[in-house]
Amino acid sequence: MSDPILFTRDLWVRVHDPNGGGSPIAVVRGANIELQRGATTCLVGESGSGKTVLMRALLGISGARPGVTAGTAWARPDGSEFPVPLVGPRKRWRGRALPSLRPGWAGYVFQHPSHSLDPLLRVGDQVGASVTIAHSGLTPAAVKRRVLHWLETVHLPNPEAVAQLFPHELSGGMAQRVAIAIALATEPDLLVADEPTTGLDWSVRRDIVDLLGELCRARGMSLLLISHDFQVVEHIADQLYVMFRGELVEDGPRRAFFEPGPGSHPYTRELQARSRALEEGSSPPRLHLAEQPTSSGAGCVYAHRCPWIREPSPERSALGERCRSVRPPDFRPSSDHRVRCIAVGEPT
Amino acid sequence: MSAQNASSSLVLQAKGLSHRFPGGVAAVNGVDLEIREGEVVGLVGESGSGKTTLGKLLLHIIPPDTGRVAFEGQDLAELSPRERRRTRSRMQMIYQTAAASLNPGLTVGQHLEETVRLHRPEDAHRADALVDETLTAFRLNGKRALHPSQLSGGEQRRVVVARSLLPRPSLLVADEPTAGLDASVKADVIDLLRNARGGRTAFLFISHELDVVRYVADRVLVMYRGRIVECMPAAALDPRDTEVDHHPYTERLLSAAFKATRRVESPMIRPTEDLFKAGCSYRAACHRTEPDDPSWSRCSQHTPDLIPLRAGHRVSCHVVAPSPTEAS
Repeated sequence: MSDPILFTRDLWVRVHDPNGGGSPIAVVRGANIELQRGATTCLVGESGSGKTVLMRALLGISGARPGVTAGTAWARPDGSEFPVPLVGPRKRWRGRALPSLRPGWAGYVFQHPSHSLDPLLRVGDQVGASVTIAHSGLTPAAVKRRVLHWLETVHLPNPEAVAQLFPHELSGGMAQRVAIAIALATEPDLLVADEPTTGLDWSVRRDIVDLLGELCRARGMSLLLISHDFQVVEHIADQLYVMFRGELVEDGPRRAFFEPGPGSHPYTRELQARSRALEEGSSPPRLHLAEQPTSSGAGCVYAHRCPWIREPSPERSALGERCRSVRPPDFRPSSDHRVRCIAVGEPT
Repeated sequence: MSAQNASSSLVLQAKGLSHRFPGGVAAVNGVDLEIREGEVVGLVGESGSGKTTLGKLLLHIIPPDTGRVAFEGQDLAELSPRERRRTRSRMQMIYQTAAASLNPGLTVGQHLEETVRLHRPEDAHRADALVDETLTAFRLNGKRALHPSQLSGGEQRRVVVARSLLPRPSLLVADEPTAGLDASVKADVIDLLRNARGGRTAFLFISHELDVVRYVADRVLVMYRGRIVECMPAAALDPRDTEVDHHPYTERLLSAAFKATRRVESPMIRPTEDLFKAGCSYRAACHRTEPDDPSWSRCSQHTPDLIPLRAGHRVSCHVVAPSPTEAS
């Protein structure tokens, strides 16, 4: 039964062209995303594919201008629907906060914990600021009790001492946990974690991922994990979205990705093959980055890298031209699995 | 691989390297290290274990408190600052944060042109063509006039890698060159590094990602609190192989792989006497020994040596690799 806590319809985000071109370029192209309540959704894709921009836009913290240009988003924190005021160009939304949503209903763990902590404030004060968003009018002693509770929840040893530390006194793994504690302290219904395990050693990575999963189960919280670490995703995901150059090229439940079944998008296969190759110590598949994507925007976003077009089997030899010129339709191998690829939709 | 054979020449030889930061913490503590021509040496360990400091000591970016580094047979400490600057062309470092090691005011092209001017003056007349060649090789076509802030993380990283390889170094210390990159760009950066100079550049490859290290390196060093606690062929760094003995710390790292067959839980850090004075620095978190064990006194009093377990595999642990004198 579908019970999304947040969903979008045909969301477009555009930003100024970094090469100085006149018209804004689309970095999120018609995203339809549904985050199920109490489930872990993973958003995977390579750097620059628009993962972070999409989520920031949804939570109204988009710094990218011009910003969201089309689409709708709805949040259902407690079953009733609220429109998410998607931010347009900044001058038009300044001063308008998320009116109908409880402050702190969504928590965000940013990509670089060391950048998202205030270097001049002690850890305890930063977590305390979050606590007061969820509960106004607490006495200082009550705030402190809750701060220690959250530091303990994220398995920081000796929370009393950690609360007194400044961010520069924390190791990478500790800073990451503090960032998670800050996000949790507003008691969010939805937690967005943007690559929370980057740059951590395996032991800490495992701890953080297990901790996030445990918190979801214990608190009924929904988790959106943005990652490009397929090993992490395989470990924790209930639902997956695969993003490539601004487009969600595939989504489906876990079994669609990690159990044998009908076709996956060739880009998903590329990601999986790379991850598996490294695990097995073999050489990762060659990448043909030299080919540039077509600038027209027509056709499949993956066409310039697709191995099925570059080295087509005899049956697929006619595909290349269509893939480059026609925007591929969505193909549904099963009711909850969607692949945006002509070749997958027309098995030969 | 081929680099392992003893006849290929030593690029770098370090003996007894130590460095203590103000405040008294030994970041690097008595490290010996040899790197041969074209060899890729992986260096793994938790944050704060001294990996980056060791890399900087090897290049004399930080002079060591004690110990010597010989680069291509020359003792770096005996070189005049000017001579040392000249050796810089042949020993390069890729710093951890690519964005921070690029000058925000210079374009990609200017970064590379400057490198040619400084490190390859003989090629200065064809700098323009050389930069274009490099940009093509690193798939940065069309980015020449852009500033670092206009590049994606992967592109910044490629600029840094391109810049460090342009002087044709014989040794490159790469400090987490793939952290935060997605799988495709990561594979790309790894391949660019491996193929540098037709495999004649030796690397110290520092990383958290054990699978990447196993793929890239010939030999892997594990560092814990400033010491090398294990040295092994890269193939031994396999989470699914439970036959091979490892240092307890390596064991814990490997068992944290998602596909590992069993997870080694580290006990809560035990309060112990000054860990840096004597004994094994891992004993406070070790699952192989406890204060009640008969072995504890040895672990807390004597610093274990690197003892060979088998060819090319040495471990510094009283429990896993007792030294021959203790065993007798």
